[in-house]
Order: sequence, then C-alpha cells, then structure tokens
Amino acid sequence: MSIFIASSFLLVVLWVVHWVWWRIALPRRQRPVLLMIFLSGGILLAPVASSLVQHLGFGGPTLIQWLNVGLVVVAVTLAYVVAYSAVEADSPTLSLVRHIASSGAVGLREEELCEFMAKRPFLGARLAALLDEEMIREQGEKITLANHTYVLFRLVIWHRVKVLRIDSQGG
Amino acid sequence: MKETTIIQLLHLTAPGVALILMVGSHAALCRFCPSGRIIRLLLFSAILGGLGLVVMELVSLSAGETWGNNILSLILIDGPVYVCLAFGYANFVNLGQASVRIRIYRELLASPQGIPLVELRGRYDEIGMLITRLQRMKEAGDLVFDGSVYRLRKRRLLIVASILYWIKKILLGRGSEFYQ
Repeated sequence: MSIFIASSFLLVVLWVVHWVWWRIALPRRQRPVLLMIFLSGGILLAPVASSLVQHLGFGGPTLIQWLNVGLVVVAVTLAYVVAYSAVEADSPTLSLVRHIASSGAVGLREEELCEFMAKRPFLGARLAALLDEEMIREQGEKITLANHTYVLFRLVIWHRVKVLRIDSQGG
Repeated sequence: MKETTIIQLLHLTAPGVALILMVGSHAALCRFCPSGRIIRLLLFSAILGGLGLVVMELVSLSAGETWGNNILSLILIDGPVYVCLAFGYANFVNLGQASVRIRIYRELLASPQGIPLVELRGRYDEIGMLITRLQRMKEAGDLVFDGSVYRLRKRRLLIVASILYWIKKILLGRGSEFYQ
C-alpha cells in the first residue's frame, strides 16, 4: 500500500505541475520538458512522499519498495510521454473520424472530406516540427537531415527492420 | 535473504519479466507470421506477457505472500505498471508504422543529398493521405461508403478521438493543433 500511496501522490502532484506549466507557457520542446518534470521532479518530491506515507500510518518504504515506486513513476511517465505525441500533434485518421461523425446520418462526400483535409496541412506541420527541433534543415528548395543524434528515430527503425523484420513503411 | 525481501523483489521484477515475454513473443510472431495484422500480433503478445505476470504473482504466493496482498498488488501496482509498459511498447512499434516524422526521416536517410520540398509534398499530400485512410477504415469496418457519402459505422475510433480532444482542451486549451 505504501508503494501505491507514494507513487500516486508523486504522479498527481507532477501532473498538476505539468498542467500549470503548460497553461502558463507551452515549452518549445514539450517531450524533453515532460520527462524532466516527471523524472527529476519525482526524485525531488520523494522525501515528501515518504513523510506522507509515514504520516498515514504505513511504515516508511524499504529500498526495494522505493525502487518499485521509481518503476511505477517511470512506467507511467513513459506511457504518458508516448501517448503525448497524439496530444501534441493531430492524427489525420482521428481528425477525419471526428469530422465524419459530426455529420451524423447525413454522411460526407469525398469532396467535403478533401476540403477538410486541405485546411489541415499535416505535412507542413510535421516539417515545421522537425525544423523547429533542428532535426532537418532547408537548403534552398531541398530538405536535408541536420546533424542530430535521432536516438528515438534510429531505435524505432532498427527495431522495425532488424528485430521485427518488417521492411515496408506504413501507409 | 528474508521472506519479505524475496516477495518485494518478485513484485518489483514481475512487470519487467512480463514485458520481456511480450517483446520476445511479438518479435517471434512478426518473424513467423509476417502476414499477420500488426494489432492482432501485438494483442496476442500482450496477453502472453499478461500470463507471465500472473505466473510471477503465483511464484510470490509460493514464496509466502498472502492471497489478499498478492491480489491488491496485482491490481494497484504490478498490473498497471505492466499495462503502461505494454502500452509504451505498442506505441513504440506503431511509431515505425504510422509516424509521418519517422517516415520523412527514413526517406531523407536514403537520400543524403536531400529531397526537394515539392517532391516530399507530392509523396505526403493531404489527398493521398485521405484516400489511404478512407480505404483502411472501410476495410476495418469503421466507415461505410454507399457510393456517394461516407458514414461512421463503428464508434471505437470516435471514442479515442473524443478522449484525445478533451485531453487537448484541458492541457493545451484547444482541441486541435490547427486551431489557435
């Protein structure tokens, strides 16, 4: 129970910090800031969580239980950061679904859907994000890769091609 | 080593063991059933991982843990941690499939001299994206097309879209990246 109380306390407080921060000023690099808030904030607030657990009458967590609290915070943070990409950027599929659903039983013609998509420049938004994160650069009329480590991108592609042996790209 | 320490260690490692089982079985399934649908293979491997978690909980029972504590820990800690890890892995796999940014990166990696912006726009134009998505959703039974209009058939994607819309409203104060 002490693991549950300590990790719930940490996650709720850190999420509130994240929400307040986001409402005041949206960071330019949102995911690294999110990781920083949840991981370093978790360590900073650990003594407060420990006193809360003791105050509620549970014994102070042991070293292994603290490792378990750390695992809970890291697992939830990673899941949240991964899911956050769907909050940060619109999904073309989900945007379409909401739009079609809003028409109800009447439905939408393909021309109406084309018009809707034309108002949402998904590629432009993704390119702008890549430029903003300095992952690509514009050289005249061309787009080239910038000097960036691309750890996540490389890992995703390596896992897809070498581990899962899927060579095709998605649609 | 004390009994309680062993039990705590078993609870600490249980979600990790379950995740390893999920990732390993997913890799094996992708290699042996390359024609299988990604979502089905992921779901199947997540269930296998879940079974691994249950086995770990049974091991902690045999190490002296009580049923009550074991069920509580499975519901409050080990289960949710495994769900988060499995969700993270599933999204990691999906990134390679669906992320436009990663696909652009792959294309640029294959063309070190760069790609003209016009060409890139041609490959990822909004109409092309629309046609691909409409086709995929029709095949999955999410949409129906009666020859003139598209209508929503299954509500599962709408539920996900609505949840995300409200999270965006709460966090960012807007429901879409294209609204200011």
